Amino acid sequence: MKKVLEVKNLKTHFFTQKGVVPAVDGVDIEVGAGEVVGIVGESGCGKSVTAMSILQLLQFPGKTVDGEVLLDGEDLLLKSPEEMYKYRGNKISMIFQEPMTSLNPVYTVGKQVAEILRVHTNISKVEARKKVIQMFEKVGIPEPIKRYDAYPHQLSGGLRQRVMIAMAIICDPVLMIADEPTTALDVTIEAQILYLMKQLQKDSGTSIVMITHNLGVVAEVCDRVYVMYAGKVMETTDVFTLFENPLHPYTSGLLNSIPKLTRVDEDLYTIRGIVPNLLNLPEGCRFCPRCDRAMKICTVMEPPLYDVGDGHQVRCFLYDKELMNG
Amino acid sequence: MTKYIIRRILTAIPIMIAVVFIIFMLLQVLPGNPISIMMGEKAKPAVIERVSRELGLYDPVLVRFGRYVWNALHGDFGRSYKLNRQVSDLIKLSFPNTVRLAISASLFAWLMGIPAGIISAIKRNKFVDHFVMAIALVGISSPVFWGAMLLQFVFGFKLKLLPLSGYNSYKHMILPAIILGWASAGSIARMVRSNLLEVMKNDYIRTARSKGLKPWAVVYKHALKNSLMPVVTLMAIQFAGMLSGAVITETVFGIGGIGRLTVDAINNRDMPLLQGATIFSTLIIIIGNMAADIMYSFLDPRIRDR
Repeated sequence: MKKVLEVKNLKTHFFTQKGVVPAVDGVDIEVGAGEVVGIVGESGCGKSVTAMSILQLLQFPGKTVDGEVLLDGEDLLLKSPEEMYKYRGNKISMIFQEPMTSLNPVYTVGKQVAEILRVHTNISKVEARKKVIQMFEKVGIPEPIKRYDAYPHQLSGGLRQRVMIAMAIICDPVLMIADEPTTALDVTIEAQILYLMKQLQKDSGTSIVMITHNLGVVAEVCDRVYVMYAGKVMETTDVFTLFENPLHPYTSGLLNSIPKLTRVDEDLYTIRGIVPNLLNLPEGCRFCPRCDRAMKICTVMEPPLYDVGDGHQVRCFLYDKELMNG
Repeated sequence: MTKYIIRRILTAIPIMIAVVFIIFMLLQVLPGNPISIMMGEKAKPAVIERVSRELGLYDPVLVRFGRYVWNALHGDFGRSYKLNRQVSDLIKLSFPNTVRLAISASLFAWLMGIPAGIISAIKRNKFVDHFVMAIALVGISSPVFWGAMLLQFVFGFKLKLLPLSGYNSYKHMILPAIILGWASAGSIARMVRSNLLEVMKNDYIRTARSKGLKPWAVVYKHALKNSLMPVVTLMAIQFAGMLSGAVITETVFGIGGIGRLTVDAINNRDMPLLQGATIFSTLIIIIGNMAADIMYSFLDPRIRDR
């Protein structure tokens, strides 16, 4: 499969007064053409910062200090700010978590979608309007002509997120990054939005990076998944293997903490402990203090990503053959 | 939208009535007999008694208030004791000067204050920011009479570029406009800066950046309109404040405006003139506030729908 996006050894740090916070600390991600890739993890694990780093939207004190972000083989981190403007919204678009606040309250939603066309293409106002209305229809906004002139506060959360999606796909990007696109929506709307995104993805072949903490969303839409923890990728595999055969203790912990209706008499499983402070990371494996299967080596050495076949990689010494057998 | 404006105008009417009532009552409780002021200290008590009765000063206060409002609605605010002219005529005479001063000072304030605030916000914590904010602070905190005399000394006396006082030509308007506008430019700049910085933290600014807009387009197209909304209120209130008379500026530069008229009325204990001028100023402020609200609704669609 052709690779659309390759993130290699991405390091994004925040330079705060208390010290350097390695929010993203050597992350590798690959996204194939037409693929939907999920990035899952708890709050603060670096999912969103990874996404923002790809588009270079982070501002002081956040800074990408190392790595490569290859879009169709071209390193975005080497682009000048002027060149990056042509990528944002055009080749890579982004959908954010809060449709309530992600749209500017003082402009009509139609105008805000048309703006992105006017920025990236030589299109007249009238043409842009026509195209936006078509796009509104495509993303399932009822009465698109009327809605073009609506202000964000006049639309429901679901409709606003549809507007955001229209904005994200109107320039036919090669990659769309969705940062918790359904977290702020209620479940029925969430299902509709996910279905819509999947449908649009099938039609256009745009690759999607889906950032979420919701494993249900992952199961619903993703082809492949990266599990992140404290700024690092802990496990990556295809979505079926992830649910059938999770290898990393963190991944199994996450899966076990999903409430199940069939287990009424049991307490809900939680991973003990809390996410480590990134300013004061434990030595060795970052998950070690919370891990039920931690070994001596885990406290002193950071495990590399082990390849266990079929593109399944896991950052855990349990899968070091020499160590475990010898 | 039209509904909103009509409603806003209707709500202003009771405020106006209340304000007129309060001012009327305040002046009632002031000590001193208006007739003795009017006729001088040598007037005979019997004459004072007779004139008071003729003018209806012994009527109950509410009757006199009603009469005053009725006359005021017909454009009659009474006669000035001291100048022996209709109060409305005196206001009509001084108001154009005040309007000219207010417009020139406000233009100066807006043209300086808004860009200064934007530059400060964009260059936050850089030298330019500190420099601009320092000038703004001096404008806000220095007393008008001090700044006015300083400018008069430098530009009028030493350099002889501009006239010292009076209000006959556009040249006369420059120094008063700068001195009166500086303070308001300063507060506008500070407010634009802090609002802009606040608005730039919003999610929709991140959205705008993710769309590939250049930084200046993000500021001008997405942040500015949002951050100017509270500033518009400030500007309208300041403008109304200037229209209701810039007492010190008018006095220092010898401009015959509403402010000077009010001060003279106080000094002369000229009750009808004081009452008329005060009510006029207050009405201007109320109208200014109303205009600010209506302008606000043009900028913010969320208010329009309420």
